[in-house]
Amino acid sequence: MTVILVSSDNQDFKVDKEVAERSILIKNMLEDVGESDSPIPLPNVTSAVLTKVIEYCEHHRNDPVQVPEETDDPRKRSNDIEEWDMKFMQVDQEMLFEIILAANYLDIKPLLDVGCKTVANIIKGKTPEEIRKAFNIVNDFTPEEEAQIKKENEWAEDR
Amino acid sequence: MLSFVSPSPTSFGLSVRPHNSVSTSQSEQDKYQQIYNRDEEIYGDCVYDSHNYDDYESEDDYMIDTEKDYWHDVRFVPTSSHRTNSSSSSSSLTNWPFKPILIRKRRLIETKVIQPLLDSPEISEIPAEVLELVCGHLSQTTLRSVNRVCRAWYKISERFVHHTGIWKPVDGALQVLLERWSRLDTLELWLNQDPRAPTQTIKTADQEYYWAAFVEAITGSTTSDQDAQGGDANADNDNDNSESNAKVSLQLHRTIRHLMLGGRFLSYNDHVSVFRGHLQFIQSLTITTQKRDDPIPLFTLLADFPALKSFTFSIPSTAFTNLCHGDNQDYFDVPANLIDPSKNFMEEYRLERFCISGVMVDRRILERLVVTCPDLRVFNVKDISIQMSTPLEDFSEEADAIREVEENNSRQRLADLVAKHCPKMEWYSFHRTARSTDEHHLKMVASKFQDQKMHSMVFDGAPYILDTLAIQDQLSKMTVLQVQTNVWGDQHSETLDSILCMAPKLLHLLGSEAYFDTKSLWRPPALVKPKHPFTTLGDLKRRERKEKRRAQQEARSRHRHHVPPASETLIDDTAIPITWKVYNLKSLELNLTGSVADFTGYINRYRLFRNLSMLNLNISSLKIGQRMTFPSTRGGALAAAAATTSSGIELQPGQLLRYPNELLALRSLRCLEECTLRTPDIPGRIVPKDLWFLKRKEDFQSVSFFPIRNREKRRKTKRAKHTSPKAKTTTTTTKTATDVLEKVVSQDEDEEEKEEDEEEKRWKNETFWPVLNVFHIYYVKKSPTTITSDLTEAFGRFRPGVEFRFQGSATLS
Repeated sequence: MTVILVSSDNQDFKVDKEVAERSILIKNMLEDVGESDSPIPLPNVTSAVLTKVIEYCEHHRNDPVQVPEETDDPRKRSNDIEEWDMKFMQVDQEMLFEIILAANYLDIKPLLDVGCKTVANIIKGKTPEEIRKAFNIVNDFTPEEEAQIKKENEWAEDR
Repeated sequence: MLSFVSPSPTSFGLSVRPHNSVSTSQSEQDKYQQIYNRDEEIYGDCVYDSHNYDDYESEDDYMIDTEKDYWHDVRFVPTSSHRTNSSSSSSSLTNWPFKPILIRKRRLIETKVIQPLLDSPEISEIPAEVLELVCGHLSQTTLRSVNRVCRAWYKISERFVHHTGIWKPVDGALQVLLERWSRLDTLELWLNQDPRAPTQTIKTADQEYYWAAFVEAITGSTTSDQDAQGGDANADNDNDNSESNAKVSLQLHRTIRHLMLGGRFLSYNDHVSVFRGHLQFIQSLTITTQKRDDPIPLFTLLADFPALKSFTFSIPSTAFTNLCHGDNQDYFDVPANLIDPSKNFMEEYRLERFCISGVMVDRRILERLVVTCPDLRVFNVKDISIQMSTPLEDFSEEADAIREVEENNSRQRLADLVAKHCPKMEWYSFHRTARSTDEHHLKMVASKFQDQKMHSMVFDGAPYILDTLAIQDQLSKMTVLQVQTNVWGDQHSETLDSILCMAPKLLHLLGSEAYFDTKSLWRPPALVKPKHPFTTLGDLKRRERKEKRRAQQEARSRHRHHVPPASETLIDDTAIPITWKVYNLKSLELNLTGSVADFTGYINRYRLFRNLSMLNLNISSLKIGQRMTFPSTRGGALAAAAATTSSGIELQPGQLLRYPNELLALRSLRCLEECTLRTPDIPGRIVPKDLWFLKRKEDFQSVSFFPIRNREKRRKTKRAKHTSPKAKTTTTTTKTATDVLEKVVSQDEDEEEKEEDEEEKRWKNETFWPVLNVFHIYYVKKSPTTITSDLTEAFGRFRPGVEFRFQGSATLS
């Protein structure tokens, strides 16, 4: 069985139901609507992004449904990305952010996680200055504010 | 690109997996000695004359893809392939380097990647929503960097940063705390102790003085008021009068969610119930103090803090603390041997996590807890003593038997109740003091909670080996394992080893209280020692290389006419794994006894921990830096003598040698984010240059990559091109039609070489542990010549963004 998805720029995408149901949003929609051939509009996702998202879902169509994280401990977060996913995520930053937003909107948890981990890996272990360079951000703190935050952070480490 | 040649499996020689069971035949062992490459073991004993970190990669092969691939080559050569002239290959190096057969076995472990390439020319602004989602994946250390980037980022990340306020009974602590009070979400209280100087007890008078000031500041009440409040804490909690309600509304601390009590002496009335009504919103309470006097009134506590979701109590000393109901239930004088029906308690609590250890408790309290907390997800009780009808002082056999039955019954009953009343239960664990976790208990847990993936195992009784085969099913599902052994844990190392061999899905190993002897790690049969004594390091290395080549060539030729052994032994091999299978481990905490080099060697040999992000090791000593000799003093001379005998290399007086850097062997842990090492002794003199290997090498935009090729193999291929013509002719003449595979691969060589050069460059530019966030080393004793401040300061320069701590402490807990 196939489902037709319509992107924000009115392009139709015909995908298998099984693939489309990787997205919890679409899955719930289909459950609500029941058996119907009407296309599903996705006004928040452009065709370029939707192509990528469908590519991801196609590749992961047979994955088991993800189990929630085993521990609540925040330090115990996974940071592994599979090789295919890594190659999949080799896109420019704008596209990457759009994929993350689309995954969030479509409720595709594994894709969202992969995207977030990808960005997180760029940030990890860097100084504020290096992060600014990586994301082209201008430092708009006054020196006083910066000193204040630094002090605050130092307290956090102090025992 | 590298072309993978994958002939059909039927043409393969069967791989011989050496194992340590008794059935290992002599011939297999011999064969194995040939294949086994001793280079992977040797670095622990090597002494390097100089540490030039800029080019250490080419010197020290602690890489991922060095030797292992030869194993695969050797074991997966088609049985029908041509025969080499074995006599010439084994006796001399004339036809060296042999033509490498570029058949690679596909890696067993799923290839994981650290980071993608994001070298996009235009950098777009990161949307706030995305940043918010990303912040959930960052550690606290990174978040502290993130909130200093710009105002917008500060706003977003601030919600994710934990703000901990610490109170301790010293001057000035209260002022600092109050300054930041409004932003705190976690409160740590240290009673009679300064966490910076854990061995010193603070005088009771001082503690009381500072505590009174603190309580006054928090509750806004005077000391006499608190006494009154504390006094009636144990009474019925409904008698909150209007006056105290008015006060409460004034001093309600909404932001504080977590309360942690540490230190020495805790009295529930003085230190916990004073906050009743003020810290209404705390969700987790952690108590790790040593406690002597009054029992902890569990249900008063739950009523005092209605939002409480997590309660943790542990006691570092061996003295048990009592746990009581804390309400009129305590006064029901029911004989302990009477099994009453589980009461229908009206109240209901929101508790989700209940973890206690070192507690003396009546089983009815636990039963009541289980019945009244339907949301309970974690019930982790260990090292507890249950009050029994037969007194523990009665040592007769009869009493023992009664106790045994009684204990089994109460265990069974508790588990039944949990299964009935707590549908969300994920982690059920129950351990009575001085009784090791056994198969019986684990099977019982498995029958009650079929999908339980988290387990606690405590081995503190008589040494015995857990029958891991009996609980294989559970182990194969396990994702979290908490282990604890007593100090003579060496006896339990074998058990732990076999557990880790059978837990392929394990993600977190929490074993900070588990002693593991590296001797239990499986190792290939011992090697025959080299016949010739070596004189210099160069000689040693040369000899090793020679032996290695010879061994590999012999092994290769042997395997080409290898007859597969009887199939029975092979079935044995697959049924009982002999090496750790924990390929997906994310966090590891362990107390290592024995040699660290053994452990790191093991990791590298079996390609473990490629996904590890948190490493927390207790090791017996950390050997980095300059080996110091103090020949002028008697102690120094003795130490030098000891060092000489242990290393096997003669230490000349006045000649300074270096320790081989044990951390270099951990290069393959490329996902490591947090590394904490605790060690009683750091004997070497460490200067900033010794930590230079951790220097950030890449520039900020370029990112880590994934090593595809085997450097060692590449070097040999290169060398093959420049060898003597004689060697060349040998290889060409021995080529037969069956060598098509080699030909196919050789066509791609030129392209590969280009790629390899690129990769070599990247190897050199890759930072050691590329996503490291936190690097802590705690020690008790260090060489007096190591200057801590120098290290910290230099580390901040060459690896900015990483929280580095090199700290001495009195204890390692």
